[in-house]
Amino acid sequence: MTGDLIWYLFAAITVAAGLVVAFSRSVVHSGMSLLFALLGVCAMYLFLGADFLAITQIVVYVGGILVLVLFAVMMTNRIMSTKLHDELVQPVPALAVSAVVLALMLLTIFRTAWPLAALGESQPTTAALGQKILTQYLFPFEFTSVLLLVAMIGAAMIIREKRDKEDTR
Amino acid sequence: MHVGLVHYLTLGAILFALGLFIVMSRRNAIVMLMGVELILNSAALNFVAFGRYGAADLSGQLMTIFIIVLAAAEAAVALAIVLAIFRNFQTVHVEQVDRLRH
Repeated sequence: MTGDLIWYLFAAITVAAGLVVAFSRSVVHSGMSLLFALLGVCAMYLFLGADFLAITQIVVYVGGILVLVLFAVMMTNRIMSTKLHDELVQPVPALAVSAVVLALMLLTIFRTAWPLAALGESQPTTAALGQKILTQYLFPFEFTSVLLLVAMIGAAMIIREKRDKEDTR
Repeated sequence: MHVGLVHYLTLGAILFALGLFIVMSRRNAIVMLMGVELILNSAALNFVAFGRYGAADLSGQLMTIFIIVLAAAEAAVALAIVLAIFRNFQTVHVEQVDRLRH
């Protein structure tokens, strides 16, 4: 079936991009292939009928977090220097632990008889999500907005240059 | 094999293992943060997949919205800390950051 083939294509792109993030020596290459991994997850959301989440994934992750990460890479490395490279530390034990965890998870996934519900038609989700957020999930929603405010103030406080200390020396 | 819940869970598991490997094997704080983002994405993907195939309602997607918000807040604060560390130590290599006062 064509849809399945397209799914496998996007899954392969996601996994390949994740592998490049994991094994690339260049920090910039890692950041750029993280873009493709995030876009692959966005495609998975589309396959799952979560249209609002797919757009949110692009806006927040690609437009926000990835840009922040790339800014941080550029600000913490002198572009002309070779310090943009990052070697793997103890790759064999890390690989072994990751492989064991992956094997355990795959074993669980394939051994468990997941209770499956009947698949309904994919509906547009944006209106329904808005309804739920402003009724059933109102408290977590408001709490999250406070958390975002706190995170914003905290980030600004942490990054602030401490000028007055230099003035009083 | 027709694409179903197991396929999404497998993809999530692979992404999680890759993120775990990155967090364990890298010492550049920014790349470690990328690994954390991969782990968060794999968890979010699992929530949406279970919401579609298991619960067949929007609860999984709502949880994923909150995960994305938390990931954004985490990335902002963590990168601010990384930049503050870089200003004090001139490095983002976490093993060279070994002093509490400067």
